[in-house]
Amino acid sequence: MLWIRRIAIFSILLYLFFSQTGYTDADMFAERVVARNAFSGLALNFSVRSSLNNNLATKLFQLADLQPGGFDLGALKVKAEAGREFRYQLRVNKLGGDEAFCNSLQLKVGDRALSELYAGALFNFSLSGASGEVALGELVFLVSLDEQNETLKNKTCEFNFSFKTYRDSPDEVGGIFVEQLIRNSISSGDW
Amino acid sequence: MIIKVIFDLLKSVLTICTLLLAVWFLNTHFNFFGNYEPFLVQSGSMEPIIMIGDIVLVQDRPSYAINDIVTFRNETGRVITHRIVAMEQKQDGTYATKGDANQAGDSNSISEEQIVGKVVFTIPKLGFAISFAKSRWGLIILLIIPAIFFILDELLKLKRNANAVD
Repeated sequence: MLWIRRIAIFSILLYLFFSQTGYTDADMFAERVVARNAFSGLALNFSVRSSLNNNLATKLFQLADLQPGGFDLGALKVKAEAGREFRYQLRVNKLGGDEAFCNSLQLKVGDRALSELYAGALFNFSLSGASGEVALGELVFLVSLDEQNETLKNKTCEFNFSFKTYRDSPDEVGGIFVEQLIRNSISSGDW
Repeated sequence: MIIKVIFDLLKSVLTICTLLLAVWFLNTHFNFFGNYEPFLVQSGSMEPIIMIGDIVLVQDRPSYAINDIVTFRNETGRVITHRIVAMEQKQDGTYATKGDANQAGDSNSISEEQIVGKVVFTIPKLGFAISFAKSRWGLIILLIIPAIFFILDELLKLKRNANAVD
């Protein structure tokens, strides 16, 4: 029985020792310092401005009482701010309003010499360009309602012109880009 | 004959270990030989000197020197065991540390207040026993059952003494 007592005492002391043992890490750590790094940032900036006075543009068409056969004109300038060429895409994003009325709106886009760059449905519009292209620097927009359908009376359509820069493809997601939105609101009248 | 030799050897080992543990236990309360703390090493940056699963016995010292392996608490409170590789001259009393198996030194130097102590002894490969001891079964097998045996043995001894008196 003496050995049972000795083993018991040993076990209890061992337990006390183990229970008071803390934990220590010996962190694996590898680091390489590369000195004298140089980073440069490429500004990819542009602005869309009013053709009238070069002020920054946020809105273009704010039309009320648009009648069948009616139209309006607006113009914008796309200006490179960084002094470096970039590519951009111009699209139309629908924000809200009546589906049929929005789909009935027509758009023509031309340059300053009124050479046609696009003619078709408003929401099919898409145009890509580069800042160095003179033709795309100044854009004239003509929006019109050509249909006479009575269901289009007293409707509204809200949409954006989206000017967005891209690096390789207009459809790329992510990366560094700049986007400027020009808000538009068109309401039809009664006829 | 061989069995008896092995048994005697085991008895001696058990006695020595029990005595060492008793000394350690008394020292934690009465501090005869200085303040010692055991730590289980969980990672391998001090290999091959200290391996994962080793227990290091750390002693609090008044000062530390280059090449001492020390256990310290970093700025986030984690306990780390690395070697002192330099005394920082810019800031008084700070030490630069590095794991032996690491390519680079630790990012931040440490002050003397952060050091728990110097590694003075290593017990290899006892980590599994620590994990077991800190489990429920470890509590039962290493503490409760031996305590019951001890108490029962003591009661039997008292009973025997009482019978002898009668």
